[in-house]
Amino acid sequence: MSRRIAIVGASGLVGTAVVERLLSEGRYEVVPLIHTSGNAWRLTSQGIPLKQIDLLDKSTLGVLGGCTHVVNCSRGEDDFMIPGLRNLLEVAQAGKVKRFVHLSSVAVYGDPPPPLSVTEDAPAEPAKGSYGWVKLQQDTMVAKAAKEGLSAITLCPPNIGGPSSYFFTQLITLLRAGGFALVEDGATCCNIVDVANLAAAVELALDHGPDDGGRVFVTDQVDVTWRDVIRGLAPLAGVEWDDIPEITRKELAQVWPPPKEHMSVTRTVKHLLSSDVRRVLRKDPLLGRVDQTLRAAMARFGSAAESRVRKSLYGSLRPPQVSAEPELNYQICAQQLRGVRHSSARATQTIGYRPPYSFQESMAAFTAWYRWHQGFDSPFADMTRELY
Amino acid sequence: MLPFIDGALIAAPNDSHGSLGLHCIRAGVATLIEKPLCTTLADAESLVAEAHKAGVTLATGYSTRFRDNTVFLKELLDTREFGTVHRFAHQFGSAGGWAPLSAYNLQRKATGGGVLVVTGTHFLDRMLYLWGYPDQSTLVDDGVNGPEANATATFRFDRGDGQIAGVARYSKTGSLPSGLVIDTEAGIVKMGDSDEAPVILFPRSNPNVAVTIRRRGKPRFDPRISPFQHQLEDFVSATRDKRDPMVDGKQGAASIRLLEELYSHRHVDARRWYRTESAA
Repeated sequence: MSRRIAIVGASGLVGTAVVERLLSEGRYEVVPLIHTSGNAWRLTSQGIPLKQIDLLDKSTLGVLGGCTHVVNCSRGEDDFMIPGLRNLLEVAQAGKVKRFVHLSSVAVYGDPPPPLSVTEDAPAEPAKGSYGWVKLQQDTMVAKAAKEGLSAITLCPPNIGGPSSYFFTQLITLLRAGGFALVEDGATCCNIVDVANLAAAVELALDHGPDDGGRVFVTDQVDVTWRDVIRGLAPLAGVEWDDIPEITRKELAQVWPPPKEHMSVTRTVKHLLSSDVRRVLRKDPLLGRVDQTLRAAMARFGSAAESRVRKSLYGSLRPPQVSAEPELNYQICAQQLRGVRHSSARATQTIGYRPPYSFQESMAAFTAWYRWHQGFDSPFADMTRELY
Repeated sequence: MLPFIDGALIAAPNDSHGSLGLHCIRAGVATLIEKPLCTTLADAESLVAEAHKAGVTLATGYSTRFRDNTVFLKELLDTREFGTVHRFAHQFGSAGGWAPLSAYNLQRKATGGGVLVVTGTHFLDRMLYLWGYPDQSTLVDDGVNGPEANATATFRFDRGDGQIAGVARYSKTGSLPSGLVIDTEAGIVKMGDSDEAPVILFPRSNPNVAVTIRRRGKPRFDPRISPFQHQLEDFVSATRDKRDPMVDGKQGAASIRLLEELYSHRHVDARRWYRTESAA
């Protein structure tokens, strides 16, 4: 086994699938690297030894020594992803790693993505500060490292399906709670890739495809619609098709994306005077004293004056709106408006990707996993269902 | 140092509980050992015997026993408020969770098991508290070569007025709606898995009605105070008053006995999810 492959972020959904696939091939020396042990149970239950690293601490990255390939499946907070990848790339470059496979996302194209993002050549213009924006910074770093000589490829999956899929389980939870509504009877396209298909693409990318850090979409390559996805998930949520709420494009467009808040002095003053901000500021002894003095001064003018100031800043107090209708998750619902089917033609051409599992097989695998995990077929299922 | 202290709290990796506990007890120091008491029944029995011999307090850190709702449910069941109990189900699941820096939680030897120990042992202790020791048990889990990440244990209790069948399900790979459901003569009794979850009855006569059952008067454990604090106060006062703590070493040992029994006849379920893969 001349190839020693480090999987960074091995305990995540994708990392675990990649580790399992590469180990099952028996052709690689696999080095699964995790950040913390909390999420690593699936790997350890199979007896796979794990090593802990901290991408923010380069001194922990010595375990990458001797690795010929690095697959980066790591995720984390925004302020972790950029410096973490910087360290990882530096260590990979210094260690003369032969190939760097970076897991990005179709989110780099923005939400909604532009119509041209059928292919990878479309301009990537995500909203500043969004998840896609952070991933785009990462893509740029990988491309720069490639320019400096590191053979690298960037794989961009959409939502991930298959066993243990967070995306599917989130949709089931929303369906059960009445938080998901169909747009146009679910006829719009849903970009999806099975986690095992993605792992297969990662393995292919170890040897094939662009070496300039270029992006490659990896999808299930079929015309899956939201109707297909929801039809598969609704029975698991115990929801009848006819009971799933519907929302029109127009209605959805009115509430998502939420209107941007413009800069204004009044808004900033309101924010500074809000109890949340003052609670934090009061922790500082000096600011606490200032707050106390101001409140005491205001109290001297009486409650009527205090009410007038409050009213001028915040307006009249309105009673909270109480609705018996469940609240829709507009962010998820609005994914139905994306309207672009990202093509994995480049993956086929450059890395030889052909998804091992069809969407139907993927959904069947998810269903089998979900039923097992939730205990649907146990003699006690009638009892545990009471907990939903 | 040990001669100068009155009590010790052991919250180290599970496989060190036995030796550290014995060290403290033999030095005459009252000892509260975090759950589980230790990792083998032999060690548990040694701890209990040595504590008895030395006249030292030995407590086991099952903090959920210091929830008022746990004690209240026990009182309701003991007074047959719901009549006969037929079945119960408890489950708790999360994707990941507690992650000690040493990552000892991922080593079967260090924890004494997998999710059944790390997560499930709290309920197993409560189950023993509510219904005593089961007459039969089974365990199915997915620990092929390491600590299991998913476990389903079933139990049967033979009682004078019939059998109680139960299940306890735990996962470290995905979220499960958590709580306890009990099928009783009076109806379905439900209680969430949190410090302040109420006891709710769905009467057999009208399952669409939810009756929240509250204690009249002062709670046994003030819910505004953390169960951990109640546990510590119980340990300290038991040591001072020379009485048994609420969860003593013997009860901790009973949990270890049950865990050992479950693992001794565990069945490993290593299934694959894609139809094109062969089942193991």
